[in-house]
Formats: sequence, C-alpha cells, structure tokens
Amino acid sequence: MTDLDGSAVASLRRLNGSKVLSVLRAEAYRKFTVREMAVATGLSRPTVGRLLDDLVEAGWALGAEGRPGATGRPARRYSFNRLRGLVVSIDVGYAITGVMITDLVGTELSWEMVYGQRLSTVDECLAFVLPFLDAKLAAVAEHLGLETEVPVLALSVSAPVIPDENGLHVDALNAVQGWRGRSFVPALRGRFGDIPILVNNDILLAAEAERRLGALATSDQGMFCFLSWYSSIVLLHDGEVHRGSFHLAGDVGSLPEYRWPDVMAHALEATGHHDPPAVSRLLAAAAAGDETARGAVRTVGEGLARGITDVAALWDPDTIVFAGQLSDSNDLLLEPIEVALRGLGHDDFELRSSEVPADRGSSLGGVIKALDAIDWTV
Amino acid sequence: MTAIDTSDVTSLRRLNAQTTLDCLRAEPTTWVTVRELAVRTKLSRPTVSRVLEDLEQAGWVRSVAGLPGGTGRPARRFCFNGAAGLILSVEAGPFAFNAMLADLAGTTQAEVSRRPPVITTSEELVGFFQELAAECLAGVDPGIPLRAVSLGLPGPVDEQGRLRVSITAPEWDGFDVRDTLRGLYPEAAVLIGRTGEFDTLAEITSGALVGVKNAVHVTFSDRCRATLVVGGRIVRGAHGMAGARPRTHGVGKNLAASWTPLRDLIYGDHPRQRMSEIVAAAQEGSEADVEVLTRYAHALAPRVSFLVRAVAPEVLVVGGQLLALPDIALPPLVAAVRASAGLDRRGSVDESRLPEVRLAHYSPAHAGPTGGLHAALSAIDWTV
Repeated sequence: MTDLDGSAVASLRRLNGSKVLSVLRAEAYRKFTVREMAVATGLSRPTVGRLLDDLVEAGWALGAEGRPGATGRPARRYSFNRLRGLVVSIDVGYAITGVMITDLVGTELSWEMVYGQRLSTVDECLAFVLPFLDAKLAAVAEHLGLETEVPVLALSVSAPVIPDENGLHVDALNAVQGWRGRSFVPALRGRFGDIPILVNNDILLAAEAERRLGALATSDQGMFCFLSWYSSIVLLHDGEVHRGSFHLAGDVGSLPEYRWPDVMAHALEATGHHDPPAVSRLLAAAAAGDETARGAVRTVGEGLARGITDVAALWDPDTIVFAGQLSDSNDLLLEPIEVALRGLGHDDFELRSSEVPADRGSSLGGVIKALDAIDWTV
Repeated sequence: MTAIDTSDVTSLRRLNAQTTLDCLRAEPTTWVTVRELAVRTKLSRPTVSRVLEDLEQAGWVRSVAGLPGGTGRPARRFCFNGAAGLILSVEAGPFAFNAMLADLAGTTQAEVSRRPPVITTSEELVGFFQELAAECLAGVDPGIPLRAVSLGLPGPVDEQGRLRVSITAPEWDGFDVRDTLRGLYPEAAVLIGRTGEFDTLAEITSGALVGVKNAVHVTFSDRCRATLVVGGRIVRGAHGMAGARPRTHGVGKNLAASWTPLRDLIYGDHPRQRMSEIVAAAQEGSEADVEVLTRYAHALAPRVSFLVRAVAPEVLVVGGQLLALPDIALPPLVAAVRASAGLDRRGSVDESRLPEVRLAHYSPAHAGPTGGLHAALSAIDWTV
C-alpha cells in the first residue's frame, strides 16, 4: 500500500461509512449500539462511533439516547433513517394509472390506482401523471407531519412498452401505439432532477416482484405466466428475470402463431363482453355460473395451454407461477393448462399461484428496481 | 506474505507452468517465441524459459530452432504438443454411431460413422462403442495415450452418467455405461453427456455461436428439439431436461408439447419414415419428399418464433438433417422470426432487433462428436 495521504483517508472513511450504512439498511428496523455495529462491521468502536455521527449528520441514520435503568450510562442507539428520501413507482397504461410511494426500505406509504382515462400519447400521460404524483407526494408529507418535502431518490416507470436502456419506447402495445418512439424520462428528469429514473416493461416488473417477494422467491429456473387480456410468459434463469437480447423476452402474447389473441377475442365476443373488451366481466359471469361464460373461459385455458406447455418443455422449470387476472378464475382456466403440463410426463415442477397482488405487482417490481438503483455509497 | 520456503517456490513454479500451458493451449497450433509468451502470460522471460523447459520435458510442449535470416540469433519457437495424447468422442444413437478421434490440439485423426445393430442393453452399446474405438485407433501410433473418452447419449444423463430417459429409443432408458468405460480406458477421463447439448457446445465453441450471448439452436430431425443458450451457456433446466421433453404424450389431443408429435402428424403415413431418407430422396428431386419437408418446416416455424419471442436471442441457429436443404428450412423460419419481431405484427419491422437466423456450422454427423471433443478437452486434468 502507498503512504496514506489525505485523500486516501477520506476515501477509507467513505468506504467504512458505506459499510456501516449497508449494515443499518440490512436490518432497517433495528437500533444498533456502537458496540453492536463494531461487531457487525469488524471496525473499531471509535471509528464506528465517528461514522455513525457522520451518518446522523448527513441524515442517513437516526440517533436516540438509550433508555436509563440498567447499570452505567445507557448506550446511544442508531438506526437507518428510512425517511431520508422516498421512492416513487408509477404504473401506467392506456386507461390505468397507479402511483406507489415508499420509504427507503420499500414500505408502502401511499398507493392508489385510478382508471378510465384515455392516455393515447406520452404527453397526455405525463400531463395526467405528474399532478397526480405531486398531490400524492404532498399527501405523504402531510401524513408524516413533515415540514419540508422529502426528496425522491429514485423513480420507476412501469408501462406496456419495450424500452431501451435510455427509457426510449422502442415498441409499445397496440393500445398505446402512440407512445412508441417517445420517452417519459426527459419530463421526469426535469421535475425530479438527476436521480435514477428507470423505465421497464410492466410484466417483467411483475415477474421481478414475484421473484423477490412471492412464489418465485426460491426458484432458480422459473416461468412466470401472466394471463390476462394480453398474456405473456417471462422466464427466470439462475434466479434472474431473463430479459434477452432485445428487451423483448417473454412477450409472446401478441404472437398470432398460437392464436392467443384470437382465443381471447373469440371468448369475449361469444359472451358479449368484447366492446369494450372486458375480461373482468367475462370472469364475473363465469364465476356467477353462466354456462356460456364458463365454456369461454375454459376454451381460453385450452388455447393458452399449448404455448405454455411448449415453453415448459424447452425450459424445464422448477416452478411455474400463474399471475394476472385470468389466473384468479377458479380452476376453469387453469385446469386445462395443468392437465397439459402434467402431460409432459413427469411432475417434478411446482405449479403455483402468484402471491403478489396482481394490481401491485408491477409497482412493487418498480420499487425493487428503484431501490437497487440508488447509489448507497456515502 | 509469509517467509518463502522451498515448497512455495515449487508451487509458484507450477502455477507459472500452468499459466504458460493454458496460454499455449488457447492457440494449440501456433508457434510462439519466449518473448511473445512472456508478453501474453505477463511473466518474465527467464521464468517463461525455465517453465518451457519443464513443460517440454513433461511432453506438453515441443520446440524448434528459429529460422535464420533476420538479424541476430533466430529465436527458438514453442508450440503446444497436441500429439501428447488423443481424445475419442462417440455419439451413440439407435440409428447411427458417429465417432471422432482427435489429438489434444483438437485436430481430427480419424472419423467413423456406422449404423449399429439393434442395441437393447448397456453391454451391447459398449460392445459397439469398442468396435468403433478400435477402428478409429487402428491408424495411430499405439504409444500415444488416450487421455479422454466422451460419449454422447440421446437424452438427459444424470450425475452418475446414466441415461435417464432416451428421446429416440425407449429401450435405452437407464443405460449405465460409465463404470464399464472407465474399466476399459483406465488412463482416460470418461465423460458422458447428452448429444443435444454436445451439438450446441460445438456451435458455441467453434461454430455458429462463437461469442453469442443468447441463442436458440433448433435441430430439424425426426425429433425436433431446441437448445437454449443464455449468457453464453447452455440452459440445462431444473432437471437437466431443457431442450425437449423426451416422449410424446397425448398425441393429437393438444395435450403435450406440440413439437414432439409433429413428425407423426406430418409424415406419419409417408412411405419413407426416416428424416435422413426423406432428405436424401428430396435431394434426388422427389417432389413428394420435398413437399413433406416443406410442410414440416412451415409447421415448425411458428413454434420456433414463439420460443424466439420468449427468449429474445441474438441468433437463431438451424441445424439437423434439414441443414442439407437450407432452401426448404430457412425461408419459413426467417419469415416467422421477422413477423414476430415487434409487439404489433402490423407495425414495421425494426431491423436492429431482429434475431439473426444462421445455419449451423456442423453437420448432424459432426456436431455431436465435435461437441464431445470440446467437453472431453475440458474434462482432462491439465494441472502440471
């Protein structure tokens, strides 16, 4: 090692500071004494004490006097300041907008979805989302009793688009064709400044949430079947969501080859729920015992079964998770899929229902990604 | 660092020898000077010189005096000694055995393809293996040691080297030949794997998939299969079964993977029942056979594009017996992959996101044995 100069001391201190912060974050609800932190980081107590005071000053940690009672002076305790900043996760579609705001450990502070708007361009979408988000941020600040606005440290956008690394929509679903070739990033950057702003495909984010928080948590080789008006299969390899080479991985729903769109369209038409397309009404009718609707849902299941089985045959998964609103349709839809999968000739994979609520999956996936994107070095 | 004792010096020297040998093996037929090796290994020239002496003595390296002509004393040149050993790679199937013998540099020494008799036991398989091995080894110097033996089987193999399920020959299920082969070739590393993976390994190591991260490798044969490559590595699946499920279940009932019953649906009542025979007839100009293959390619195309969309590969490689007739195999696949390149079929095709469709580099008879050679090379203990 070279001689320590001032800059080396500073960077060593920064490195140790980051180490202390990561221990605080890992057990975000624990209150550490200096002694406990010294043990956890392997640093000396005086060093840890100085670093914790630095972190308190910078707002990353909260210090509290220990409670008196035992012998000796009660030890001061430190914990992670979960409200040093906020994370925003926006989930947008043509007629749906959801905004989730969390603290820095991902605890939900606010979540609301609104339906029924018609956002056919990116500008319309932003014009709707930004005021909505500002109102939510203000409400959170008020609820927490904060005088000053807490900074947003990272922001995620989840949308039915295929974005590139820079957030440009290289492709978009039919309903939001007008979003193609545009990006949410410049406007959001204008509002929130130089923070991580991520744009991801909504279904890949839902799969991400399932992997971290739900039924795929222990899977190495998984399949996430998102079954809805528009269905997709997301693959998980070595425990990671597979994105493929062109950010298109998993998006099989629009392909005509296995007639997935046709099957759905037929089912809606046969039951009179096609204009506007309303999968939820079809499912409600089936649940209420309407025979035509029940038959239609079963036919959709049979239609989806072949594509899912073909991919499963080639992917050899340990777990297959069904998500999306269709997966809640009792067993009408899943039964034919399950029969087909078992027809592969062995049963050493698990079939599971999604554990992350369908309407929050993409938002939660966004929160996870946003937290990962924050620069936690101090 | 602790005080240097002699054992440390020895192990350091061994480590340097290892580095040097690895470097030479990376380009096993290239002659290099001490100076060039020193640059590549980041070791000093005297160290490289000493290590090369050791390696030459152990037989891993050969050298020649430099050619005079330039200024100064011509430098001695060194090369990996591929002749220090042999590798035998055999791909076994119920209809064909393909064998390849190569030296340690991967240079082919002999190739044999034979149609086997009906094989129903592990012993019969080993028996035929030995016949091919003897034929391959007949022409080479018996003094050269066989350092590795690899066997490709038509289905997933478990950790003990047993064939779990045979894709093409149900009576081969559970075949267990590893111990017998180890007994027959006690000096060699014995490696047993799945032919489908060896095919793809050949393309990854020295074929159409060199340097490719994500790929789908489709094999057009009697039993079509696809092997997936993610992050430059073959996807084996949770149970080593990725690629294709073994046998057909619920044919025609739409109840199993729809790749497997394809063959029965398309040429089930055709006078010729083997893809190799149909391909041969089509090459002779038989229109009925050309038509069967065309229908097959068209039926497979949408299934492949569905998979391509799920995996989003950079490259789709097409191999197998239909490789002999690319004019039949490629157009429907290229069209299907193009059609599925965007979210909306009606939209324009974004060329920059179009997976490239390539023909496999290796013919069906060469792919398996070549991949087996690569696998065997990495199974050899190269520590010096």
